[in-house]
Amino acid sequence: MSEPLRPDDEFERALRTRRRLVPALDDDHAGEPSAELDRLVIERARQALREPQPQEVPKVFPLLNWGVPLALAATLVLSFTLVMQMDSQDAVAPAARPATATTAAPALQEAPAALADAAGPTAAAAAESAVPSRERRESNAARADLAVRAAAGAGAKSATEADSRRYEVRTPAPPAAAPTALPSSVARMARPLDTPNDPRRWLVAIEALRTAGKAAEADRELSALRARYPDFVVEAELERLRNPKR
Amino acid sequence: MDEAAQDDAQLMLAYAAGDLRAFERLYGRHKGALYRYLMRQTRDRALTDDLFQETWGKLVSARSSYAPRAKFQTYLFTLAYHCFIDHCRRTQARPDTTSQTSEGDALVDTLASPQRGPEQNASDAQLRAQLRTALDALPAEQRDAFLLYEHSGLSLEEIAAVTGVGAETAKSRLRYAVAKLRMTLSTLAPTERGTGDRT
Repeated sequence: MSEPLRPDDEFERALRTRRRLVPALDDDHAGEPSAELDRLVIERARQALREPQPQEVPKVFPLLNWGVPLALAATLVLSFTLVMQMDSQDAVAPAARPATATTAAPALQEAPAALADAAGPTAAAAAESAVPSRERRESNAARADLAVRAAAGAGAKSATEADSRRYEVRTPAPPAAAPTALPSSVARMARPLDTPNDPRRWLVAIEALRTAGKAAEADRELSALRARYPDFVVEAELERLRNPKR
Repeated sequence: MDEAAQDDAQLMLAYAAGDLRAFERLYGRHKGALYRYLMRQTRDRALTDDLFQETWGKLVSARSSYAPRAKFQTYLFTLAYHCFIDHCRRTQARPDTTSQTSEGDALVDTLASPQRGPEQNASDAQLRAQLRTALDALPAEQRDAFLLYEHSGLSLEEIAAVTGVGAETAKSRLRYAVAKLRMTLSTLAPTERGTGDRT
Protein backbone atom coordinates (compact mmCIF):
# COMPACT_ATOMS: atom_id res chain seq x y z
CA MET A 1 0.00 0.00 0.00
CA SER A 2 2.75 2.43 0.96
CA GLU A 3 4.94 1.32 -1.93
CA PRO A 4 5.76 4.34 -4.05
CA LEU A 5 4.13 4.52 -7.41
CA ARG A 6 6.32 3.39 -10.26
CA PRO A 7 7.34 5.94 -12.82
CA ASP A 8 6.78 5.25 -16.52
CA ASP A 9 10.29 3.97 -17.10
CA GLU A 10 9.64 1.17 -14.65
CA PHE A 11 6.62 -0.05 -16.57
CA GLU A 12 8.65 -2.38 -18.73
CA ARG A 13 10.55 -3.71 -15.74
CA ALA A 14 7.34 -4.38 -13.90
CA LEU A 15 6.03 -6.27 -16.89
CA ARG A 16 9.18 -8.35 -17.13
CA THR A 17 9.23 -9.26 -13.46
CA ARG A 18 5.47 -9.79 -13.51
CA ARG A 19 4.97 -7.54 -10.49
CA ARG A 20 1.63 -6.06 -9.75
CA LEU A 21 1.36 -2.74 -11.45
CA VAL A 22 -0.80 -1.18 -8.77
CA PRO A 23 -0.11 -2.71 -5.36
CA ALA A 24 -3.22 -1.09 -3.95
CA LEU A 25 -5.13 -3.77 -5.84
CA ASP A 26 -3.36 -6.46 -3.89
CA ASP A 27 -6.68 -7.73 -2.71
CA ASP A 28 -6.35 -11.45 -2.60
CA HIS A 29 -9.14 -11.56 -0.08
CA ALA A 30 -11.28 -9.18 -2.06
CA GLY A 31 -13.60 -11.79 -3.34
CA GLU A 32 -14.03 -15.51 -3.51
CA PRO A 33 -16.91 -17.51 -4.82
CA SER A 34 -19.25 -18.63 -2.11
CA ALA A 35 -19.34 -22.23 -0.95
CA GLU A 36 -22.73 -22.57 -2.58
CA LEU A 37 -21.32 -21.38 -5.88
CA ASP A 38 -18.45 -23.85 -5.56
CA ARG A 39 -20.94 -26.63 -4.95
CA LEU A 40 -23.01 -25.65 -7.98
CA VAL A 41 -20.02 -25.60 -10.30
CA ILE A 42 -18.64 -28.91 -9.06
CA GLU A 43 -22.08 -30.48 -9.26
CA ARG A 44 -22.43 -29.35 -12.84
CA ALA A 45 -19.06 -30.82 -13.69
CA ARG A 46 -20.10 -34.10 -12.08
CA GLN A 47 -23.39 -34.19 -13.99
CA ALA A 48 -21.60 -33.51 -17.22
CA LEU A 49 -19.48 -36.60 -16.65
CA ARG A 50 -22.58 -38.68 -16.15
CA GLU A 51 -24.15 -37.48 -19.35
CA PRO A 52 -22.99 -39.04 -22.56
CA GLN A 53 -20.42 -36.89 -24.22
CA PRO A 54 -21.79 -35.14 -27.23
CA GLN A 55 -20.52 -36.91 -30.27
CA GLU A 56 -18.85 -34.65 -32.71
CA VAL A 57 -20.81 -34.80 -35.91
CA PRO A 58 -18.43 -35.69 -38.68
CA LYS A 59 -18.47 -33.14 -41.37
CA VAL A 60 -20.02 -34.31 -44.55
CA PHE A 61 -17.81 -31.96 -46.46
CA PRO A 62 -14.73 -31.45 -44.34
CA LEU A 63 -13.30 -29.01 -46.85
CA LEU A 64 -16.43 -26.91 -46.90
CA ASN A 65 -14.91 -24.25 -44.69
CA TRP A 66 -12.51 -23.10 -47.36
CA GLY A 67 -14.21 -24.84 -50.25
CA VAL A 68 -16.86 -22.18 -50.65
CA PRO A 69 -14.44 -19.27 -50.97
CA LEU A 70 -12.30 -21.38 -53.26
CA ALA A 71 -15.27 -22.18 -55.47
CA LEU A 72 -16.19 -18.52 -55.62
CA ALA A 73 -12.65 -17.56 -56.55
CA ALA A 74 -12.51 -20.27 -59.21
CA THR A 75 -15.82 -19.09 -60.67
CA LEU A 76 -14.55 -15.55 -60.84
CA VAL A 77 -11.30 -16.57 -62.50
CA LEU A 78 -13.11 -18.79 -64.99
CA SER A 79 -15.61 -16.09 -65.86
CA PHE A 80 -12.86 -13.53 -66.29
CA THR A 81 -10.90 -15.91 -68.50
CA LEU A 82 -13.94 -16.62 -70.65
CA VAL A 83 -14.69 -12.94 -71.06
CA MET A 84 -11.10 -12.24 -71.99
CA GLN A 85 -11.11 -15.09 -74.48
CA MET A 86 -14.31 -13.85 -76.08
CA ASP A 87 -12.80 -10.38 -76.36
CA SER A 88 -9.67 -11.74 -77.96
CA GLN A 89 -11.75 -13.78 -80.41
CA ASP A 90 -13.66 -10.66 -81.33
CA ALA A 91 -10.37 -8.92 -81.93
CA VAL A 92 -8.98 -11.76 -84.03
CA ALA A 93 -12.14 -12.34 -86.06
CA PRO A 94 -11.44 -9.38 -88.38
CA ALA A 95 -7.92 -10.66 -88.68
CA ALA A 96 -9.24 -14.00 -89.81
CA ARG A 97 -10.32 -12.47 -93.13
CA PRO A 98 -6.86 -11.17 -93.82
CA ALA A 99 -5.77 -14.68 -93.08
CA THR A 100 -7.96 -15.79 -96.00
CA ALA A 101 -6.23 -13.21 -98.08
CA THR A 102 -2.96 -14.49 -96.79
CA THR A 103 -3.84 -17.88 -98.11
CA ALA A 104 -5.06 -16.28 -101.30
CA ALA A 105 -1.89 -14.28 -101.76
CA PRO A 106 0.22 -17.34 -102.55
CA ALA A 107 -2.47 -18.21 -105.08
CA LEU A 108 -1.83 -14.96 -106.79
CA GLN A 109 1.87 -15.59 -106.65
CA GLU A 110 1.34 -19.08 -108.00
CA ALA A 111 -0.86 -17.81 -110.77
CA PRO A 112 1.92 -16.18 -112.84
CA ALA A 113 3.50 -19.53 -113.55
CA ALA A 114 0.25 -20.88 -114.89
CA LEU A 115 -0.47 -17.75 -116.76
CA ALA A 116 3.00 -17.74 -118.25
CA ASP A 117 2.26 -21.10 -119.74
CA ALA A 118 -1.25 -20.30 -120.81
CA ALA A 119 -1.50 -16.66 -121.74
CA GLY A 120 1.98 -15.55 -122.44
CA PRO A 121 4.00 -12.71 -120.99
CA THR A 122 1.15 -10.26 -120.68
CA ALA A 123 -0.95 -12.50 -118.52
CA ALA A 124 2.11 -13.51 -116.52
CA ALA A 125 2.95 -9.91 -115.87
CA ALA A 126 -0.64 -9.27 -114.88
CA ALA A 127 -0.67 -12.20 -112.52
CA GLU A 128 2.64 -11.16 -111.00
CA SER A 129 1.29 -7.79 -110.20
CA ALA A 130 -2.00 -9.13 -108.94
CA VAL A 131 -1.59 -8.38 -105.26
CA PRO A 132 -4.84 -7.90 -103.35
CA SER A 133 -5.80 -4.61 -101.90
CA ARG A 134 -7.50 -4.36 -98.57
CA GLU A 135 -10.84 -3.34 -100.01
CA ARG A 136 -10.90 -5.80 -102.87
CA ARG A 137 -9.13 -8.64 -101.22
CA GLU A 138 -11.84 -11.17 -101.74
CA SER A 139 -12.55 -10.20 -105.32
CA ASN A 140 -8.83 -10.36 -106.05
CA ALA A 141 -8.71 -13.82 -104.63
CA ALA A 142 -11.63 -14.75 -106.86
CA ARG A 143 -9.87 -13.27 -109.84
CA ALA A 144 -6.75 -15.19 -108.98
CA ASP A 145 -8.84 -18.28 -108.92
CA LEU A 146 -10.22 -17.37 -112.30
CA ALA A 147 -6.72 -16.91 -113.62
CA VAL A 148 -5.69 -20.25 -112.29
CA ARG A 149 -8.67 -21.88 -113.86
CA ALA A 150 -7.91 -20.09 -117.11
CA ALA A 151 -4.43 -21.44 -116.98
CA ALA A 152 -5.92 -24.85 -116.38
CA GLY A 153 -7.88 -24.55 -119.59
CA ALA A 154 -4.80 -23.66 -121.61
CA GLY A 155 -2.99 -26.97 -121.52
CA ALA A 156 -3.02 -30.35 -119.89
CA LYS A 157 0.36 -29.99 -118.25
CA SER A 158 -0.26 -26.57 -116.98
CA ALA A 159 -3.76 -27.57 -115.98
CA THR A 160 -2.41 -30.33 -113.81
CA GLU A 161 0.01 -27.97 -112.17
CA ALA A 162 -2.60 -25.30 -111.77
CA ASP A 163 -5.05 -27.74 -110.29
CA SER A 164 -2.53 -28.95 -107.84
CA ARG A 165 -1.67 -25.40 -106.96
CA ARG A 166 -5.30 -24.52 -106.70
CA TYR A 167 -5.74 -27.44 -104.42
CA GLU A 168 -2.89 -26.17 -102.33
CA VAL A 169 -4.33 -22.73 -102.29
CA ARG A 170 -7.83 -23.84 -101.48
CA THR A 171 -6.84 -26.22 -98.77
CA PRO A 172 -8.13 -24.59 -95.64
CA ALA A 173 -5.50 -23.76 -93.13
CA PRO A 174 -5.31 -26.30 -90.35
CA PRO A 175 -6.98 -25.15 -87.17
CA ALA A 176 -3.69 -25.09 -85.32
CA ALA A 177 -2.37 -22.58 -87.79
CA ALA A 178 -5.49 -20.49 -87.58
CA PRO A 179 -4.70 -16.91 -86.78
CA THR A 180 -6.85 -17.01 -83.67
CA ALA A 181 -3.66 -17.57 -81.79
CA LEU A 182 -2.26 -14.34 -83.08
CA PRO A 183 -3.17 -10.98 -81.70
CA SER A 184 -4.87 -8.77 -84.22
CA SER A 185 -1.87 -6.44 -84.41
CA VAL A 186 0.42 -9.32 -85.37
CA ALA A 187 -2.09 -10.60 -87.89
CA ARG A 188 -2.24 -7.14 -89.40
CA MET A 189 1.52 -7.11 -89.77
CA ALA A 190 1.37 -10.49 -91.50
CA ARG A 191 -0.91 -9.23 -94.25
CA PRO A 192 0.51 -8.61 -97.73
CA LEU A 193 1.18 -5.06 -98.73
CA ASP A 194 -1.88 -3.29 -100.01
CA THR A 195 -1.86 -1.95 -103.54
CA PRO A 196 -4.33 0.46 -105.13
CA ASN A 197 -7.08 -1.00 -107.21
CA ASP A 198 -6.16 -1.16 -110.84
CA PRO A 199 -8.82 -1.81 -113.46
CA ARG A 200 -6.11 -2.29 -116.03
CA ARG A 201 -4.79 -5.33 -114.21
CA TRP A 202 -8.29 -6.65 -113.86
CA LEU A 203 -8.72 -6.21 -117.59
CA VAL A 204 -5.48 -8.11 -118.20
CA ALA A 205 -6.86 -11.01 -116.20
CA ILE A 206 -10.09 -10.87 -118.17
CA GLU A 207 -8.15 -10.98 -121.41
CA ALA A 208 -6.30 -13.97 -120.09
CA LEU A 209 -9.61 -15.65 -119.47
CA ARG A 210 -10.77 -14.84 -122.94
CA THR A 211 -7.54 -16.14 -124.39
CA ALA A 212 -8.08 -19.35 -122.48
CA GLY A 213 -11.49 -19.79 -124.06
CA LYS A 214 -13.52 -18.79 -121.03
CA ALA A 215 -15.50 -16.19 -122.84
CA ALA A 216 -18.54 -16.36 -120.62
CA GLU A 217 -16.51 -15.84 -117.49
CA ALA A 218 -14.55 -13.11 -119.21
CA ASP A 219 -17.78 -11.32 -120.13
CA ARG A 220 -19.09 -11.64 -116.61
CA GLU A 221 -15.89 -10.21 -115.18
CA LEU A 222 -15.95 -7.45 -117.76
CA SER A 223 -19.47 -6.49 -116.71
CA ALA A 224 -18.35 -6.41 -113.11
CA LEU A 225 -15.41 -4.22 -114.01
CA ARG A 226 -17.63 -1.81 -115.90
CA ALA A 227 -20.04 -1.64 -113.04
CA ARG A 228 -17.27 -0.90 -110.60
CA TYR A 229 -15.35 1.53 -112.81
CA PRO A 230 -17.97 3.24 -114.96
CA ASP A 231 -15.49 5.94 -116.06
CA PHE A 232 -12.93 3.44 -117.19
CA VAL A 233 -12.87 3.28 -120.98
CA VAL A 234 -12.67 -0.45 -121.48
CA GLU A 235 -12.57 -0.48 -125.24
CA ALA A 236 -9.59 1.85 -125.50
CA GLU A 237 -7.70 -0.10 -122.94
CA LEU A 238 -8.57 -3.38 -124.65
CA GLU A 239 -7.34 -2.00 -127.90
CA ARG A 240 -4.13 -0.95 -126.27
CA LEU A 241 -3.72 -4.38 -124.72
CA ARG A 242 -4.36 -6.23 -127.91
CA ASN A 243 -2.10 -3.97 -129.96
CA PRO A 244 0.55 -2.76 -127.62
CA LYS A 245 2.65 -1.40 -130.46
CA ARG A 246 0.11 1.26 -131.29
CA MET B 1 4.15 -23.72 -21.45
CA ASP B 2 5.59 -23.89 -17.96
CA GLU B 3 5.15 -26.76 -15.55
CA ALA B 4 2.05 -25.38 -13.85
CA ALA B 5 0.40 -24.71 -17.20
CA GLN B 6 1.23 -28.21 -18.36
CA ASP B 7 -0.20 -29.50 -15.14
CA ASP B 8 -3.37 -27.53 -15.72
CA ALA B 9 -3.65 -28.94 -19.21
CA GLN B 10 -3.14 -32.46 -17.86
CA LEU B 11 -5.84 -31.90 -15.27
CA MET B 12 -8.25 -30.68 -17.90
CA LEU B 13 -7.52 -33.66 -20.11
CA ALA B 14 -7.97 -35.96 -17.13
CA TYR B 15 -11.33 -34.37 -16.42
CA ALA B 16 -12.33 -34.79 -20.04
CA ALA B 17 -11.47 -38.47 -19.59
CA GLY B 18 -13.85 -38.67 -16.62
CA ASP B 19 -11.77 -37.70 -13.60
CA LEU B 20 -13.81 -35.34 -11.42
CA ARG B 21 -10.96 -34.98 -8.93
CA ALA B 22 -8.90 -33.37 -11.63
CA PHE B 23 -11.62 -30.82 -12.23
CA GLU B 24 -11.85 -30.04 -8.52
CA ARG B 25 -8.14 -29.35 -8.37
CA LEU B 26 -8.33 -27.20 -11.47
CA TYR B 27 -11.28 -25.32 -10.10
CA GLY B 28 -9.56 -24.76 -6.78
CA ARG B 29 -6.54 -23.28 -8.54
CA HIS B 30 -8.32 -20.75 -10.67
CA LYS B 31 -11.63 -19.95 -9.08
CA GLY B 32 -10.35 -17.05 -6.99
CA ALA B 33 -8.61 -15.18 -9.77
CA LEU B 34 -11.49 -15.72 -12.13
CA TYR B 35 -14.06 -14.62 -9.63
CA ARG B 36 -12.15 -11.45 -8.74
CA TYR B 37 -11.69 -10.63 -12.37
CA LEU B 38 -15.40 -10.96 -13.05
CA MET B 39 -16.25 -9.09 -9.90
CA ARG B 40 -14.01 -6.22 -10.95
CA GLN B 41 -15.63 -6.19 -14.35
CA THR B 42 -19.25 -6.36 -13.31
CA ARG B 43 -19.22 -4.75 -9.87
CA ASP B 44 -22.23 -6.86 -9.14
CA ARG B 45 -22.03 -10.00 -7.07
CA ALA B 46 -25.14 -11.65 -8.47
CA LEU B 47 -24.03 -11.00 -12.01
CA THR B 48 -20.54 -12.17 -11.16
CA ASP B 49 -21.97 -15.41 -9.82
CA ASP B 50 -23.93 -15.91 -13.03
CA LEU B 51 -20.99 -15.23 -15.30
CA PHE B 52 -18.71 -17.34 -13.11
CA GLN B 53 -21.06 -20.29 -13.43
CA GLU B 54 -21.52 -19.70 -17.12
CA THR B 55 -17.77 -19.67 -17.68
CA TRP B 56 -17.19 -22.94 -15.88
CA GLY B 57 -20.25 -24.38 -17.56
CA LYS B 58 -18.79 -23.63 -20.96
CA LEU B 59 -15.51 -25.18 -19.91
CA VAL B 60 -17.32 -28.32 -18.82
CA SER B 61 -19.32 -28.51 -22.03
CA ALA B 62 -16.23 -28.05 -24.17
CA ARG B 63 -14.14 -30.63 -22.34
CA SER B 64 -14.26 -33.15 -25.17
CA SER B 65 -12.91 -30.67 -27.67
CA TYR B 66 -10.28 -29.19 -25.37
CA ALA B 67 -6.76 -29.29 -26.75
CA PRO B 68 -3.85 -27.79 -24.84
CA ARG B 69 -2.76 -25.34 -27.50
CA ALA B 70 -2.25 -22.52 -25.01
CA LYS B 71 -2.08 -22.03 -21.29
CA PHE B 72 -5.18 -23.22 -19.52
CA GLN B 73 -5.49 -19.82 -17.88
CA THR B 74 -5.64 -18.17 -21.27
CA TYR B 75 -8.39 -20.55 -22.30
CA LEU B 76 -10.34 -20.01 -19.10
CA PHE B 77 -10.09 -16.23 -19.15
CA THR B 78 -10.96 -16.14 -22.82
CA LEU B 79 -14.18 -17.96 -21.96
CA ALA B 80 -14.84 -15.55 -19.11
CA TYR B 81 -14.05 -12.52 -21.23
CA HIS B 82 -16.46 -13.65 -23.92
CA CYS B 83 -19.14 -14.44 -21.37
CA PHE B 84 -18.80 -10.91 -20.06
CA ILE B 85 -18.81 -9.37 -23.54
CA ASP B 86 -21.85 -11.45 -24.49
CA HIS B 87 -23.61 -10.23 -21.38
CA CYS B 88 -22.77 -6.64 -22.30
CA ARG B 89 -24.19 -7.18 -25.75
CA ARG B 90 -27.33 -8.71 -24.38
CA THR B 91 -27.83 -5.73 -22.11
CA GLN B 92 -26.79 -3.34 -24.91
CA ALA B 93 -24.05 -1.78 -22.85
CA ARG B 94 -21.48 -2.43 -20.26
CA PRO B 95 -22.72 -2.14 -16.72
CA ASP B 96 -22.93 1.38 -15.47
CA THR B 97 -19.74 1.38 -13.49
CA THR B 98 -20.28 4.89 -12.28
CA SER B 99 -23.22 3.81 -10.22
CA GLN B 100 -22.05 2.13 -7.11
CA THR B 101 -23.98 -0.92 -6.14
CA SER B 102 -24.28 -2.04 -2.62
CA GLU B 103 -22.39 -5.18 -3.60
CA GLY B 104 -19.57 -3.10 -4.95
CA ASP B 105 -19.43 -1.10 -1.77
CA ALA B 106 -19.43 -4.31 0.17
CA LEU B 107 -16.46 -5.47 -1.84
CA VAL B 108 -14.52 -2.39 -0.89
CA ASP B 109 -15.47 -2.90 2.70
CA THR B 110 -14.16 -6.42 2.65
CA LEU B 111 -10.82 -5.16 1.42
CA ALA B 112 -10.18 -3.73 4.85
CA SER B 113 -8.65 -6.36 7.06
CA PRO B 114 -10.28 -6.73 10.48
CA GLN B 115 -6.82 -7.21 11.98
CA ARG B 116 -5.87 -3.63 11.17
CA GLY B 117 -6.76 -0.66 13.24
CA PRO B 118 -9.81 1.44 12.52
CA GLU B 119 -7.77 4.37 11.20
CA GLN B 120 -5.78 2.16 8.89
CA ASN B 121 -8.93 0.50 7.71
CA ALA B 122 -10.42 3.86 7.00
CA SER B 123 -7.33 4.83 5.04
CA ASP B 124 -7.39 1.62 3.06
CA ALA B 125 -11.06 2.04 2.36
CA GLN B 126 -10.39 5.53 1.12
CA LEU B 127 -7.58 4.36 -1.10
CA ARG B 128 -9.66 1.57 -2.57
CA ALA B 129 -12.58 3.85 -3.15
CA GLN B 130 -10.26 6.13 -5.06
CA LEU B 131 -8.92 3.22 -6.99
CA ARG B 132 -12.38 2.00 -7.80
CA THR B 133 -13.31 5.41 -9.09
CA ALA B 134 -10.18 5.47 -11.20
CA LEU B 135 -10.94 2.03 -12.59
CA ASP B 136 -14.46 3.09 -13.42
CA ALA B 137 -13.14 6.07 -15.27
CA LEU B 138 -10.93 3.93 -17.49
CA PRO B 139 -12.07 3.13 -21.01
CA ALA B 140 -13.46 -0.38 -21.22
CA GLU B 141 -10.55 -1.73 -23.28
CA GLN B 142 -7.97 -0.35 -20.86
CA ARG B 143 -9.88 -1.72 -17.90
CA ASP B 144 -10.05 -5.13 -19.58
CA ALA B 145 -6.32 -5.17 -20.13
CA PHE B 146 -5.58 -3.99 -16.63
CA LEU B 147 -7.91 -6.41 -14.87
CA LEU B 148 -6.72 -9.33 -16.94
CA TYR B 149 -3.14 -8.47 -16.10
CA GLU B 150 -3.77 -7.99 -12.40
CA HIS B 151 -6.10 -10.88 -11.81
CA SER B 152 -5.38 -13.58 -14.31
CA GLY B 153 -1.60 -13.64 -14.28
CA LEU B 154 -1.58 -13.72 -18.05
CA SER B 155 1.24 -12.30 -20.08
CA LEU B 156 0.73 -9.44 -22.48
CA GLU B 157 0.61 -11.84 -25.41
CA GLU B 158 -1.99 -13.93 -23.65
CA ILE B 159 -4.05 -10.86 -22.79
CA ALA B 160 -3.84 -9.89 -26.42
CA ALA B 161 -5.08 -13.35 -27.39
CA VAL B 162 -7.95 -13.17 -24.91
CA THR B 163 -9.10 -9.75 -26.06
CA GLY B 164 -8.43 -10.43 -29.73
CA VAL B 165 -5.94 -7.64 -30.33
CA GLY B 166 -2.25 -7.43 -31.05
CA ALA B 167 0.32 -7.62 -28.27
CA GLU B 168 1.39 -4.03 -28.83
CA THR B 169 -2.19 -2.85 -28.57
CA ALA B 170 -2.65 -4.75 -25.34
CA LYS B 171 0.55 -3.28 -23.99
CA SER B 172 -0.47 0.21 -24.94
CA ARG B 173 -3.83 -0.19 -23.27
CA LEU B 174 -2.17 -1.49 -20.14
CA ARG B 175 0.31 1.36 -20.10
CA TYR B 176 -2.42 3.98 -20.37
CA ALA B 177 -4.47 2.27 -17.68
CA VAL B 178 -1.56 2.16 -15.26
CA ALA B 179 -0.66 5.77 -15.94
CA LYS B 180 -4.19 6.92 -15.17
CA LEU B 181 -4.45 4.81 -12.04
CA ARG B 182 -1.13 6.13 -10.86
CA MET B 183 -2.24 9.66 -11.34
CA THR B 184 -5.35 9.00 -9.31
CA LEU B 185 -3.52 7.22 -6.52
CA SER B 186 -0.80 9.85 -6.29
CA THR B 187 -3.39 12.29 -5.07
CA LEU B 188 -4.15 9.94 -2.22
CA ALA B 189 -0.55 9.19 -1.28
CA PRO B 190 -0.03 12.20 1.08
CA THR B 191 -3.17 11.31 2.96
CA GLU B 192 -1.99 7.76 3.26
CA ARG B 193 1.41 8.88 4.53
CA GLY B 194 -0.24 11.15 7.00
CA THR B 195 -2.34 8.34 8.27
CA GLY B 196 0.72 6.15 8.56
CA ASP B 197 2.55 8.79 10.59
CA ARG B 198 -0.26 8.99 13.00
CA THR B 199 -0.27 5.26 13.51
